[in-house]
Amino acid sequence: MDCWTPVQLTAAVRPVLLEGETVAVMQKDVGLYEGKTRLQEFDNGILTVTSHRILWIDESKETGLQLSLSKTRGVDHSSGIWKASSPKIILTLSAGPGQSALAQVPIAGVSIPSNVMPVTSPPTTSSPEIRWTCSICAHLNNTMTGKCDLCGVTKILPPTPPALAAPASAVASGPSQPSRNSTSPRRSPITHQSFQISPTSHAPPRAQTECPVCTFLNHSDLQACEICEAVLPKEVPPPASSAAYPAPVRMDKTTPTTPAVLLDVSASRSSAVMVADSDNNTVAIIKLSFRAGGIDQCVRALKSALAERAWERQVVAVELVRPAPVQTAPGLGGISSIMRNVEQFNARVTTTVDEAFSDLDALMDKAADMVKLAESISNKLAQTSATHAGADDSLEMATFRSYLIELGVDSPVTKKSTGDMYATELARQLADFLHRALATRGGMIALTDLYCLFNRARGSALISPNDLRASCRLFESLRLPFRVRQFASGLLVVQAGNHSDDETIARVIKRVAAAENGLSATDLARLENISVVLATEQLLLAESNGGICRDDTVQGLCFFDNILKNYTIPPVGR
Amino acid sequence: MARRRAGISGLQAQARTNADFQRVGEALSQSQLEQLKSQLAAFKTNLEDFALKYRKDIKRDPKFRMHFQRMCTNIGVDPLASNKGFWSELLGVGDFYYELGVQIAEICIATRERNGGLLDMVDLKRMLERLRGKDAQEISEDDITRSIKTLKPLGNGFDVVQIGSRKLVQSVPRELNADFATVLGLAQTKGCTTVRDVEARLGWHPDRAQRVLDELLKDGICWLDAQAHPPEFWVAGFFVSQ
Repeated sequence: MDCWTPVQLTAAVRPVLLEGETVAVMQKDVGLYEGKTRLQEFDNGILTVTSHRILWIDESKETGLQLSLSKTRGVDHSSGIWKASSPKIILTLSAGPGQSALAQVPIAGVSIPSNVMPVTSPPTTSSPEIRWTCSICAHLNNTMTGKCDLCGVTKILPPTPPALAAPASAVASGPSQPSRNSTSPRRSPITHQSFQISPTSHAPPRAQTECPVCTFLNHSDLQACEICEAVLPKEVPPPASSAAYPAPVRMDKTTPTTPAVLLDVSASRSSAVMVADSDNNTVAIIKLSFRAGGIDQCVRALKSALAERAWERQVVAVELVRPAPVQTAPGLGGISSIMRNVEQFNARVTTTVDEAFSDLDALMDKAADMVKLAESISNKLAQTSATHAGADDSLEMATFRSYLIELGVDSPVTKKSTGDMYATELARQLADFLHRALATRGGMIALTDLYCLFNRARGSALISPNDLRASCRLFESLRLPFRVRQFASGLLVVQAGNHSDDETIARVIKRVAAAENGLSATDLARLENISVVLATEQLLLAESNGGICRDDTVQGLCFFDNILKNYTIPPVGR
Repeated sequence: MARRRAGISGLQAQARTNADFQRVGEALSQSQLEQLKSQLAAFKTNLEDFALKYRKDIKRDPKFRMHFQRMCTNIGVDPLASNKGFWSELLGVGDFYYELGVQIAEICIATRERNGGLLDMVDLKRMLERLRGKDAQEISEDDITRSIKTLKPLGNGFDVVQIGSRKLVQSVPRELNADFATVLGLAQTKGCTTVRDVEARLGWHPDRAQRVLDELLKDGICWLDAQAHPPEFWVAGFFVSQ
């Protein structure tokens, strides 16, 4: 889990996107694997492929992980071999410098106390009980999965503590295995440089060589493949510093990184699936298991994102718009050179605009630059012509526009990118939007206004009124802090869930208590500067809560403070 | 370095130079402004063109869509410019009416501060035309009415009301309209108010004042004294027994 880092989430459990990042595709029911290890804690989440990152979010636990695409070296995918196995995307990552496999190997000769964790304990996920002994076959498992590596039987809870597990395995594994080794056959192989694994023990993966032709895992002593008789690659002597390190040095540059090899690697190491590459760079393998389909779009999105390398382009884009330093001879300073600079800049802008708008592809190519240019033009114009803004209503529109720009939704959820999660994702995005929009609008907004604001913020990716309505209905089931409320007249408003009732009731009660001769809806409307209809509604709400009581006469409906509520019964008998 | 000449002539020369600098500076900034404006205009025409021509392509690519959107907001071009297709025309659904709906809502919200959510259809149409740019397809009042109808699933937020021969678009629902409370506050001192009074003291459009008072009358909050001239609206809640 070293390669994943936690991602920042919004209140509606959506990832916070980076500058210029766009969401390409989302898919639910995706589980994470590290090598062969199915990570139980990260088993069911929503995968989002963006132009910069891979995000994995567990909505029920409200946690998220991210993986920068810049780390990704290769994308591969396997459709499940067995029917039971879901198709998976296999990502090859280059690890950070601090995560080299060699660095994590303890120094040879240092004996490790049996209760110490295995070599690498991943900071994020590892529970203390990574090693456990299978109760059926007594195999000492290293993985976090709930299943035994060897016999596939589910781990019986509560897990055996490592200290107890060791003797148990020693007994069970029988005389063929020296008990000295059985305490920790995997954990500290380096402490016994001469230690060879006997064939009867469950052969650790280093003793296997993958056949380059049929990928069958052969014993390392074999010269040719048992199955297809192809010549097996010779074992390259591992780097000097790790002569005894059991790991998984990739034998052959030409050997493709197939999961088969790597699976075994993962079993040999505690967690991070690091493979020392031939050039000593470390590589991690992670897998994404798609349990609800959708793998094809994800692979396509990933590949195109990797091809575009948007994270690299961003830096370049800024450079292009900046006026290039003009070479002026030292003598040619002063006004004339300033004028010339300005002229040159203008000419450059004009040509850029012309070029960019020659056709759609050109514009797409230069889009980022043009955005910068547009921003600079509008900024400059705003500075210079703030005083002479045009006609009456264009000013209003302009201020409203700038408000909308602040609220902008950069990567709108679309049907195409989310598929069957469209409604829920839209609801979440809407909730994020509402967080910002409601702040300035007193905690309540008519659905029509919301429709306009939200669509404007989304730009050209419009949603229909019905989509909006459907998303609003999902607020409750998604536990988002907003509610739709319908007035008797049929008006629909969205209000903040926490804002609503308690706060209103408290406010109304305070108003009623302050009024001497009772408070009517008209009075409340005037005091709170709200409409009479809304005031009536709020009074009735407070009444149903028991905070106030009514005085219903021919002169109209008035409300008084409910003094019984806070009345304490005087002690009896004294 | 030449030493500055002392005396009156030196000062005069300095003032002259300063004035010259200022003139050049002004000319420069003026030409800059002109340049910027022409760039803006070019940008604008191009963007409008593209929004119309490559609408589908723009929608398809999320990254480009984001960029295009940013350009449009900065330059002040509306990216929504679909044409009314055959089916749209026939059924009153589709992007054209949705887009128009969004644009109408935007104009109404933006001008709400000034008109209290009551906008004349003619004004609305004029503003819509300006918003949509000169190349966009023409719209009629019928289109506006239809678009407002597409907003119906969102509750009764928007409505077209007829006052006399004029059609007004009402964008503030009664429940959320603070105008009533404002008028009530106004009427509190005297116990009554008139349309003229509301207009004068709040600076409202006659339509807006009339509408608010009518609504109050309808709800039974106000009583109308039709014998007075002009008619007076008395607020029942403020009657005081002398």
